Amino acid sequence: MLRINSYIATIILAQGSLSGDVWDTDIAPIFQSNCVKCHGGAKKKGGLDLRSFESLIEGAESGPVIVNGSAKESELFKVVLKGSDPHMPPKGQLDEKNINNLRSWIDGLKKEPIVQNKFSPKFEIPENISLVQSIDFALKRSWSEQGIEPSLNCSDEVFCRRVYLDVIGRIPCSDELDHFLADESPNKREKLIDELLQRNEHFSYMAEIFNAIFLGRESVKKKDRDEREKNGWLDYLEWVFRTNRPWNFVAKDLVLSRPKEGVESGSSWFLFEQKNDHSEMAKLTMSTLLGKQIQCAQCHDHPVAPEIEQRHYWGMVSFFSRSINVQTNKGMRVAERAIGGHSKYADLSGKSHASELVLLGNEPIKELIDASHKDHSELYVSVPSEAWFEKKNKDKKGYQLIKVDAAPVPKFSRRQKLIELAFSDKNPSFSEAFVNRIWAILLGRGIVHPVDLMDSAHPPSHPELLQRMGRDFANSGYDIRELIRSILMSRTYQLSSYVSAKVKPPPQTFSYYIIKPIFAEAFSKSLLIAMGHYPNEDGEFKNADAEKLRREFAVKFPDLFPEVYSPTVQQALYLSNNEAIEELFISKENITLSIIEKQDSNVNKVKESFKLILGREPDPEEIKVGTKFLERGPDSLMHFCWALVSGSEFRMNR
Amino acid sequence: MVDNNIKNCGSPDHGIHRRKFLEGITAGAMSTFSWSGLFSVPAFAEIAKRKQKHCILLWLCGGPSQFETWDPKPGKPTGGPFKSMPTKIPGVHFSELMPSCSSIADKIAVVRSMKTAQKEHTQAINLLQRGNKVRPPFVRPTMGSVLAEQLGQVGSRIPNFILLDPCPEGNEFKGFKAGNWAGWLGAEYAPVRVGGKYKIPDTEKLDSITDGDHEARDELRRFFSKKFENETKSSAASSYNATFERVRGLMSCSDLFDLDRLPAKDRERYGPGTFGQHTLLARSLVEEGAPFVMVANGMPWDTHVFNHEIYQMIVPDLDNIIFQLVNDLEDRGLLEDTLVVAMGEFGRTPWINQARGRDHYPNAWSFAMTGAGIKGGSVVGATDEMGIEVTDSPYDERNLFATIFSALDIDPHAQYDLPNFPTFHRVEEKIQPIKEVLL
Repeated sequence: MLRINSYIATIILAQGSLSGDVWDTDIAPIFQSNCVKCHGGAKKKGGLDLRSFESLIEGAESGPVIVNGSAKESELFKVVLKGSDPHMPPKGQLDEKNINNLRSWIDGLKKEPIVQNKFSPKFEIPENISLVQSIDFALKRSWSEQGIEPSLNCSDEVFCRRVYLDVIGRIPCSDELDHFLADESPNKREKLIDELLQRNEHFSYMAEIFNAIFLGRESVKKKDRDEREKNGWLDYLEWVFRTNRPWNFVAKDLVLSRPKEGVESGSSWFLFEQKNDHSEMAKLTMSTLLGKQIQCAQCHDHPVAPEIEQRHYWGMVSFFSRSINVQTNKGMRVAERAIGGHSKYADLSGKSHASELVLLGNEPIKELIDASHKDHSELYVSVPSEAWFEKKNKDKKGYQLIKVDAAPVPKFSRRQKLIELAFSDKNPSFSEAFVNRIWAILLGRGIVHPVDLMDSAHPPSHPELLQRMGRDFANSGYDIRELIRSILMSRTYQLSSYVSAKVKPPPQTFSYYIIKPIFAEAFSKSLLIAMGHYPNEDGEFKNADAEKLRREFAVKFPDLFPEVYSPTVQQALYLSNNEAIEELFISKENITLSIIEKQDSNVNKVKESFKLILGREPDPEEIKVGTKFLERGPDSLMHFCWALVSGSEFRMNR
Repeated sequence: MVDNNIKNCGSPDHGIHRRKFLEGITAGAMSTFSWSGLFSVPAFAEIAKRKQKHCILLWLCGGPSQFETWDPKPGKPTGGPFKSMPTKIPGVHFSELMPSCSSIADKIAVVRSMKTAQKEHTQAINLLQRGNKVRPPFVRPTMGSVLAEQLGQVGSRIPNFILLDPCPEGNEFKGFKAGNWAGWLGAEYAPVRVGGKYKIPDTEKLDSITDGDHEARDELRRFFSKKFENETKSSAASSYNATFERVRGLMSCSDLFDLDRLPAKDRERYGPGTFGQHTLLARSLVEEGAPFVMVANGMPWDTHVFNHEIYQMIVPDLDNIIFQLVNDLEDRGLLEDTLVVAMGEFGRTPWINQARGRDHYPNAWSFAMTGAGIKGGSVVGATDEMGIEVTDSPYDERNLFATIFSALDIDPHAQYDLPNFPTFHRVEEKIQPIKEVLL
């Protein structure tokens, strides 16, 4: 017998989705392994698609293939029986067990036509309530339906650390914590939230996170951080959050790449960094702004999410396929040709298709210009520089950069069309993708999880709420700060992470605060603060190595929204043996150690360390072990502090 | 402490003072609270001393073609351009791309009748790494995690599950690698991934701290962190803590991962490729006591395009690697305790596509194994003359896993004791091992 801690079991239980109906467990696998090769994403012989229940119900060109409630009348069932003619699969025979499963499933289907939509709301959120109230209404409703008792409200100590980490990306300094705890006003949490949302540190922290979301970690993507800074990308992002730029404007800035001068210039870097790689632009735009991954559909229709077809992948690429990097007098831009981009792609059977200008969920856009047109200045809003029309040599990697006075703007712009379709109220998935991402940043996982797989294979845990929040976000004029504020103000956000129930409910219930690792930026900054290096009002440290440390942590702890958090032993080794960590402890500017040293007893030293590093009081057991450890000798305090900052509590937002 | 799997790893006195610090500080505290509960280290006496077994998995990710390896069909429309060649076993032929393995066919067992149900990488990798159908939301541990738990020793310095993985990429395999390997066994049975630069950074203790202090602060860290983990039941904290459990072990054996310490002659024999070099490394890690080493290298076997051209390069390479590994293990007296498995997640189609490639094919494919518990020279199962269907003794992933467990003297049908879980077994439904290949 293998013994396993019960809570680990619970955690595992919590990691998957909870859908477990017969379709998923017994039926879909039969089709997956025997049928979808010909009746699926790659081919749809006879017009039949067996990848989802919905597509099965649609039937084949010849009509429905199943009769609800009666296997023996169903075409689909008749053809799999032994000796049937025609017979499916053509070169094989389903085994007895699968045939029986199929029979009992079809027999069990209700006679009346099934209108099954996974996303249809099960309840209504009242119209006249605020976003904060909607969140709590929807969650409360789902807890009571599932018979879950949510955790209690978290303590002020915990709230303070939590909201500092989430909003400005660091733990509170000890005077900030004291200040908050001493405040006796009933709305002090609200006050703190509003204060933090106005801090410079909030803007720069959000800029760092969205730098990593939009363009990826520099180390992972092998990109140059200095290039991003030099070209104003980081400044642009900080400006977005400082001025609370509406999110639809941000999306437009990024994809249109026609910024005014000044700080907006940096927005061009989003496309510019892709160096004329149109597929990369399509993938990035889809995953970061629309919350979907489409690269699966490059060679064939999406294997598990039938709505994402191969033409959508190539359609998305087409929106970018006239883009070309230019160097202008005002900085780097991504201009657009008036012609070209009529590419073809082949499906798995080798059949060739012309790419259409089509966005998932929309009709293709008709263009007046076809492949026969030649590039001409009349096709542009104003006459482009001559260099624009010259043939230029590409470098070894096929890259070219054209120098022009200003980026040419075609009269018909594909990217402009994309913006009109994708980033407006007409496309709810645009605002839902952002809502879901902010939710995940603050609450540890998305309502759809992972955040960039918002497709039919990944249903939301709270569809009603996602829909409502998406709508309200759009109605608010895509007000980012208001969205963040609403989530922070909700009861759901302010729940304790402590669960008293023996069996911990799965995380997608959000019935407790999900303990989550903090991002690299927050980790390095918090480490500095815990070691007594305090920032000024702008969040800058006197310690010149703070930026070096941030960059190093971004390399060592690159995770942003992994499906499963998987830390590595290399990270533990880094914290255990790297000089950069050691330096924090021995630095003269480390006032944490000297503050603790001044305490008159070991008990008080332990208490002070816990307060400065973990922002809480130690319990008697921790005091006992801690004081004993401090008796070890002169360096023991430093080692004691190391044990706290390298510990799992410090690493997490709880 | 049982440490018969730590032969040359670290100085011997490290073996016992793991808990010295605790002895020092707990003398007075023992009566008030239980340490064992906090640290959840099982009593060492419970671990039966069994003869140390090892397993090396050569993971041929992408799905290797059976036609160009173990089940050639020369002259048939599906057979491709390569001939077959006789092996040391009369009547048995391998692909002509495998002359070395043909010469030691009497030591290798080949199963030619694998028939599995998944034809997409992600699903198939999960199936062949976990050995049973998935049943969301439960995550079954991978073969490596089960073997790490069964063959490994708690507190062993050398990691119980080593994944040698020089290529961090690998399409769907990349996604799998980032996922949950250990499933319900818990993060401590997840692999230690090493690769790329063969040396692991930060394994040297800084001079400014003494060994005693380094260990003592680690114990203190463990105490605070486990306490947090236990009180909050946080999976993130649990995974994070599990990584620290490996720190001291890796520090004491990091040099084992350094390829440069291996003789140049050995390195030459395994060929210049990273897969060969890592197989050599796997051999040396097994010599040092590692219970399970998995050698992977992206997804090179996924040849939808130019199957023949690619296989002409990579099959002879694999042929030599297996040959060298088997000989080396035998020379060192380790072959009878070390199971070697070479497999992928499925085979490749009999028909050849327009790009001269072969696509995914789970219906009839082959794998090979040798070493511990395996009857060399056995060739099991068969496919029809075109290689389209299995005609004799079809086996699936459950038979395969039952065979691996049985070969290593692990009960294939033991039941997991998981509170609040449905009943799970190592291999479900009492599916039997492939008896013909077992000793």
